[in-house]
Amino acid sequence: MLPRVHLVALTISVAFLAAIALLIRRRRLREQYALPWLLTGLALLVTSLSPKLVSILAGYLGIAYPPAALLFLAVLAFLGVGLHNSLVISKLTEQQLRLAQYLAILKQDIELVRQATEGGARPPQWPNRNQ
Amino acid sequence: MTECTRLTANNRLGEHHARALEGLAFVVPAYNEEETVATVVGDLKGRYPRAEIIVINDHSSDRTAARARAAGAVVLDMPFNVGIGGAVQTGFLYALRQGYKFVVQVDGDGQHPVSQVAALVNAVGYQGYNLAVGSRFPAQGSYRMPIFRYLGSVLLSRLITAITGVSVRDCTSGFRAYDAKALAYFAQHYPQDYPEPEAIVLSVEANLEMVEVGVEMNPRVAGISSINLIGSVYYMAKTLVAILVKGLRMTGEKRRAA
Repeated sequence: MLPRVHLVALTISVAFLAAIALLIRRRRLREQYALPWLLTGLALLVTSLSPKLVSILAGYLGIAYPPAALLFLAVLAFLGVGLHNSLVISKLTEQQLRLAQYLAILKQDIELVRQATEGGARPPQWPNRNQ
Repeated sequence: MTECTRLTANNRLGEHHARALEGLAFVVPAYNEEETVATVVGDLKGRYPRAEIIVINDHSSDRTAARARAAGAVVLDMPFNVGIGGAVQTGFLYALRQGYKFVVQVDGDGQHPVSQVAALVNAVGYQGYNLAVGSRFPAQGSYRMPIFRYLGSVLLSRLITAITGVSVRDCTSGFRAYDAKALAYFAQHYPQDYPEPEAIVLSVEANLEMVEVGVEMNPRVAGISSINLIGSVYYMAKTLVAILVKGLRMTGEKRRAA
């Protein structure tokens, strides 16, 4: 019989993996961004199944108190995921700015075409933020 | 390479040239400037009737776009607020595609007098500079910068000079002229917010010839400056980081080249 803390850890890691899987299935989370979370979830599962592994790992890293090794790894994982997210946001911001710029120019082009042809397509009006 | 040159004496000659100058367009970023934008566009139209005036309406919530259009400008409507850098860059993209050879950037708030445009046009149109920056220092006319703005601006300028070796006195001025080479570069690489000091560093990186031109500026006629206290702190921090990063990149490139 496993000690209670292991049962709790096991339940949480299984629930976490299930949540990730569900989000992917419902297309709320893209596979390319789910990967770091899946790896985190798997690491969580492995460590909760085999507490001995944590002790071995702590010994290897030269950390006297094994739970501290676990925390250390968790912090590293979050740093990685956080940085990855910032990279993705930077790329998206860049792409989104370009899209906005081309849209603004194309809208003006439509306006010109409309004037030249006396009533072609009307350019779209951007919804006002205050409405 | 870049000393602060005063071309005020050449203004009359410059205006004559600029009237004849083909391929001149104005890029006017405007965010909630309904009170001033029509005057700015009207003044430019009056002095440079053949130039295209491109107003970039950065998703204003007032009647900026309609006023600018009525005054005879081409208006590029941003679908959401993209910041002054993103807006100005939209103007660069449009001007490049339309085949303009020179662009003068003028604020929509009326701070930049039309009478001072000729000196900038002269620098890029006839003296062969890629980028001309209208400088408020040494101060001319009635304009005085608020003290903290002045100190921040001087600090940034000194830092840019120290890191890039290029002498610049008013790195925060948004009153600028660009030739086709500078336009092509900035259309690809331009900071999205508080772009002015960073753009000077970028111009050094891209081997653009820059000159500072002494100009007069007006105090703001209407509206409020986009920069408040938290904004200034962010402005300084962001610009410092940008300058340092680019300075490092440049020394790295020099080392590789050596």
